[in-house]
Amino acid sequence: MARMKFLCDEERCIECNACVTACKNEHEVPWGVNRRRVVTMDDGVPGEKSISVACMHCTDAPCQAVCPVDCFYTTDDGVVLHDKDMCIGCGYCLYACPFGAPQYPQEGAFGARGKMDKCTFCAGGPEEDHSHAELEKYGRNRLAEGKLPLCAEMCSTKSLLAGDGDMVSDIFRNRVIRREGQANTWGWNTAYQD
Amino acid sequence: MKAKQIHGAGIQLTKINMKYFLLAIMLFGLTACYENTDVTLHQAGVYKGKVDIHTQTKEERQAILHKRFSQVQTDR
Repeated sequence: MARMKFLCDEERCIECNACVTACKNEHEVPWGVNRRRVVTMDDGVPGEKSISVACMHCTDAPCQAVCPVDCFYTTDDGVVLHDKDMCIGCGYCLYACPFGAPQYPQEGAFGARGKMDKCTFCAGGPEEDHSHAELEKYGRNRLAEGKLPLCAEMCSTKSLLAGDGDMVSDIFRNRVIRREGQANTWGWNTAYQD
Repeated sequence: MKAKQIHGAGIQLTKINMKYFLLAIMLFGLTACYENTDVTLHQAGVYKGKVDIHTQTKEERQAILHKRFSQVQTDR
């Protein structure tokens, strides 16, 4: 079964934040909510590395396991989505997620925590495809339009890849071979640089 | 004299009663000290939200997305 996956090549990411902007613009994400963000390690130090992080649509999603109202589901494409009508905004999924993907908009006069919002892999939600309700609650459903997530499609350096996990890993494997070695995020040369 | 003896015996009886009373409380307290050895398993529940109905079948969608991937995600 094909599973949709994201992969960010840290050797190519230039920390332009275009993926973040594209995501916010495409789905009209509310103020204070970032479905995607760029994380930089050793910022300002020569050899710094950046990666773009969002929901990784885990095969065994911990958010799904801890949800007290069972509002998460996995689509046939392997995309982890949730029903906002059922979400109670408890925040358990945020504690469970290793990537910090779940986001909570502030609602009401006192800024109470609203219903959880996260990356949908541009696959909308459980509402009818292309409906106004889906657009309002979850953003655009690009997968139903035959398109892939915008963040990856418009990445200028092709650092961020999104699609069938097998195809994504093929591209990355070829890149590693071309670089004549492993990716430089692990290994002896990284652990003992000095 | 007799009254004093009776009073002393009464105090002794109360002391003995207090001992039994405290012992009973301690035993009652100990009944709460046990360890539950059952393992709590956290498993994903069954999705209870709305059913996500797609306009295309899974195969159709995957064929379209594969084509799209080879168009836009090819390496440079």
